Amino acid sequence: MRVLSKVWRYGLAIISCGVALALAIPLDSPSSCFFLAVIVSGFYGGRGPGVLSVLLSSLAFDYFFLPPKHNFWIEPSSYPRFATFLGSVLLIMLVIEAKRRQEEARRQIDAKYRQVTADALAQAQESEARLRLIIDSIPVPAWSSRADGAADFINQRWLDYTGIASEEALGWGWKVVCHPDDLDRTMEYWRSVLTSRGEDRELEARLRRFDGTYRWFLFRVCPLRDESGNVVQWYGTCIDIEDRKRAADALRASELKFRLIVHSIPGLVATMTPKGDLELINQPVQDYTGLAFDALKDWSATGLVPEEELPRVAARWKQSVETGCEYDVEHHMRRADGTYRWFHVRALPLRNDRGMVVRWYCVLTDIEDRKRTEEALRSREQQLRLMVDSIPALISIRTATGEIETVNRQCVDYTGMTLENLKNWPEVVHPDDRADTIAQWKYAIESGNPLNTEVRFRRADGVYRWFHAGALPLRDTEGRIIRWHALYVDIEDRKHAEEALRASEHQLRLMVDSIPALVTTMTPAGDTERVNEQLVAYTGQSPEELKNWPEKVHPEDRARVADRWRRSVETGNPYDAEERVRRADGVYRWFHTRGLPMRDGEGHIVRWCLLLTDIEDRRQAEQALRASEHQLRLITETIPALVWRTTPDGEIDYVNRRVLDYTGKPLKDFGNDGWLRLLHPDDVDSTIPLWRQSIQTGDSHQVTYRLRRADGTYRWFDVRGEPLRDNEGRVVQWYGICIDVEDRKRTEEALRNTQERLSIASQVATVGELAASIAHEVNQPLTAVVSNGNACLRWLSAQPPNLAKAVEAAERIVRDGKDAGEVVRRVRALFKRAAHEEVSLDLNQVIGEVLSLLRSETAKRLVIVETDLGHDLPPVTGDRVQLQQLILNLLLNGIEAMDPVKDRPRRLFIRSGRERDDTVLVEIRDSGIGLKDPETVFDAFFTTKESGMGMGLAICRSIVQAHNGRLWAASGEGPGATFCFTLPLPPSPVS
Amino acid sequence: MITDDPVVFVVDDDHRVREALCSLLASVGLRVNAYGSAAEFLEAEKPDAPACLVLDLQLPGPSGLELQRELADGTGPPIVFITGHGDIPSSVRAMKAGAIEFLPKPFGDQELLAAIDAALALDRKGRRERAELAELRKQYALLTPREREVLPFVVAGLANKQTAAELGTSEITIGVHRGQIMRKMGARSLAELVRMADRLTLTRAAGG
Repeated sequence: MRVLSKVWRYGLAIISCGVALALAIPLDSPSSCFFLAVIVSGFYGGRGPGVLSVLLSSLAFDYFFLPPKHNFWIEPSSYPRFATFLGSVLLIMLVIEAKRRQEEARRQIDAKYRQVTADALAQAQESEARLRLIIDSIPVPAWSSRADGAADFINQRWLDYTGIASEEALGWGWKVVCHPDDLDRTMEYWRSVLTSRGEDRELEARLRRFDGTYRWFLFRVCPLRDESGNVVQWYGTCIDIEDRKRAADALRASELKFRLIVHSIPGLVATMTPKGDLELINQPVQDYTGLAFDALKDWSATGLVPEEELPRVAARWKQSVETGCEYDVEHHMRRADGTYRWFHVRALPLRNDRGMVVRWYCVLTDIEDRKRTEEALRSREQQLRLMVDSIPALISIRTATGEIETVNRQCVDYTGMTLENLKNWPEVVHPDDRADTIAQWKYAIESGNPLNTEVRFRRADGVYRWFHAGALPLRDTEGRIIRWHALYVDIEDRKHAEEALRASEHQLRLMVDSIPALVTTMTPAGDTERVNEQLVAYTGQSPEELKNWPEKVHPEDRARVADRWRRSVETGNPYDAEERVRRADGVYRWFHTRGLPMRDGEGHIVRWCLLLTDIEDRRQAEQALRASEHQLRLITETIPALVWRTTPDGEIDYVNRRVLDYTGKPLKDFGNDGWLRLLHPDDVDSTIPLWRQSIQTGDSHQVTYRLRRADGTYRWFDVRGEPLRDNEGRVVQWYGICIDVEDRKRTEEALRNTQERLSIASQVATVGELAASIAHEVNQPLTAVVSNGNACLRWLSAQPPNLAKAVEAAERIVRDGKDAGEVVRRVRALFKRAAHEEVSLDLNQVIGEVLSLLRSETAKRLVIVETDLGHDLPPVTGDRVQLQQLILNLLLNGIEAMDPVKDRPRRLFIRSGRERDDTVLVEIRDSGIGLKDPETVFDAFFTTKESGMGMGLAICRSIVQAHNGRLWAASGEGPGATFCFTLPLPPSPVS
Repeated sequence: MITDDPVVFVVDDDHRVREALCSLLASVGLRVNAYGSAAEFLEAEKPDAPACLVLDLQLPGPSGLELQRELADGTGPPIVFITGHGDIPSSVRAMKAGAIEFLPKPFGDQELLAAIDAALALDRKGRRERAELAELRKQYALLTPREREVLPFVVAGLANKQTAAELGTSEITIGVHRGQIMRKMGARSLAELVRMADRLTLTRAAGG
């Protein structure tokens, strides 16, 4: 700038001020513009112009901008502003000046420097050229570059290697041969080199050879510095390290692999230095021990190996290290949790070419489990041996070729031979089985198939027993047989059992074939399995043909049978059917087939057993029976009588048509004793006990009762029931018949009425018979009288006369005469039956009167009279005389019945009591000779006695019937007879 | 007529009749045992003397006719029936069964006593005959078997010679036998012997 002439410089100042002014006025920013003008003037013009511009600016400012404007006068109020402006521009000018001066100085230095540099450069260039020569000569690619890194020289070798021209490579062109992947790195390297100001750095990168392949090169740069230490030039070499790299890579890779392996080995691996110090450990070691590498370095002290073992271990290790021998030791090692485990430690030395140990590789294998397993195995082996010796069977182990290797204790004990002797084992085999057994073994050993046979072995005492021999080969991992294990089980008993079973099976078969019935077994599916001889003989078909059994069944029965069979097979329910089966000659006969399933332990059906029984005859009999039943039914329906049938218990289960028609009731009404409802109420009481008794005793039933007809009237029926017994005499059914005897009964009734009426009214049947009876009654005393009279006469005419006896006789006459009179009187009393007077009287009183009448009689005849007269006996209405007569008769009968009794007391027992609501019962019991027939005794003119009214009981009955009562007799328990009569009570007026 | 001490059994269920009969029979000096029923009579001990049974028809328990049947072996006392009834069929039955008399009540003493006499006589006869027969049997038992063999021939009227020929022995022997027989049997003549033999034979044939 110095060049600028003074004029120019001062002119610049003026112009700039002028411009500034020109700008300031419109923009109204004088300060800025003028400042600017000052700056420009000062910097580019120098000091002089600078001052000038300040002056001008200030003047301009004062004139144009300070009030009053367009005046050089400055107001006092504007003094500060002006002062400020002036100050500022002055300051600016000064600063700019300083700057300019600096700049100036620098320019000067620069020029100087440049000069120096140019000199140096020239020098350098010289030396550079020399250097270039060198560079070109050295046998490595080399280059030089400027301080900024751009190559300015590349040696020939480089160019030869890369195959590119120098022009291309110079500058940054060499980048093209840089491997793309390394380019960034390379540039980064350069940058760092550059910025680090020349420190030695190396770079490895790939360069492309002329043939396109990349090879690794080592770049080394070296800076050339100048006096001030600044880098002037860079010199670099590229050393081909491809091989080295490869090797290094390989090594790294293998190292990595090694490391990986080491760390992956599921084992503890460590490497030691040749001296025996820990070099490397893998992760498992750390994990196991819980210690880090550093801690493990001093492994002997950490208590890793237990104290007891440490000396041995350390000594061995020392020995190995010194001698270089393999190290193989088992010892305990402590785990991270403090437990000690067995380890097998093996260390092998790695030797270099010269045989020197380079490294020890050590593998520690956790054999704790193995040790344990070994232990367990040992003890198990022990156990096994014990077991083998305790098994109640003979065990032998043979080699792969079949020779006996060992036998268990049982073998020895059984055979009584030693192992040695047993090697010749055929000797203990039964002679008959020997050849076969040897052959079997031979075959097994050759084929490798298991042995399975039965053989007899000789026991120590010489007895042969059956054994089941089973042998299996023991193979190794490749399948080769290494041993045979043989087991012999004593099956002697089983054999016996089998024999027995066979025998019993044979027996069973015989039995099945002998059963006089057709037997067949079926599979669970329902098909024929086996048939017995009878079935074969009957059908005339072979067992094979019989498999199609439906074909033997009558066509009409086939479907039904097949269906039922199918159902049984499906449900497992017993099978029961009747069907016709064809005989060998073609005839069909009825069979009853019953089948039962045979189940095994779990309840599954194993087979069906069927039995066919020939029921043809039975069937025919049934048919005949049915036919005859039908006939019978016809008969019973036709019989002109009511026919009924009951079960042994008395339940009516059948009545014939006539019954239903007569009663107008259906059969079901007869059940449950319903038939009793059809009886006349008065007859029910007498019928039930008789019927019950018949049922119990099985005696024929005979009763008469009134049965109600459909129209409600009752008719008398004579009923007879007879039991039907089976072969054992048990009652199977009751059959009964009811014959309509209404008419007969009516007739009888009429007859009886007539009889009774006659007897009541006149009490005379026939004069002749009455006379005979009376005569008889009177005859007794008369006979006595006559005889006594004759006796008396004789006594008197005896020599001497026997007066005493005569008197006796006479007395007897009198007595007996009276008796006769008595009879007459009684008879007359009978005839003199006046009107039947009905008065209310106390029966007990009447009894008492009669008893007093008979007192002399009972006393004479030694009769004990017992009474049980019910008190509160209600009065009955009746004829006193007749009732007296009745009671007198009965009592007399009783007394007279006891006359013959000499061996027991003569007891006359009278009881009276109220019986039910409407009757009074009087019972007179004697201990006399009893009655043969309680019924006929009432017949008119029947008597067994002489001294009694032959009419007596007949008349008694008529008296009782006249009073509407009942009189009956029974020969009760004990000797004697019982007479009972009932009299109706008059209906009570109150109740 | 009363030689030994006969006994009369009276069976009647009426005590008056019994008393009267006892008195009556006693008055003619007869021994009387009275019973009230057939059972009583059968059970009672009876003396060994000519006896007679006065029996009523109507009795408690077995009737008179039944008792008669029971005693029908011939060794019982003859029976005189007395009865208050007196129907013809009973009387016919009684007589056919061997009763001595059938008297309806009331009867006179003469009739009764006569019947009793007859009965007693019959019984005596019977007893005598039985005794005789027993005697005969005893005598027969004394015969030797040989003599028993000879007897039939002798009784048949065969001469000794013939008998001997039949039996294969000598006449003399037969004569001796005959003498023995006569002596042992107590027969005074052949005719007597024949009669004896008849009685024995008859009895034997009848199963005596």
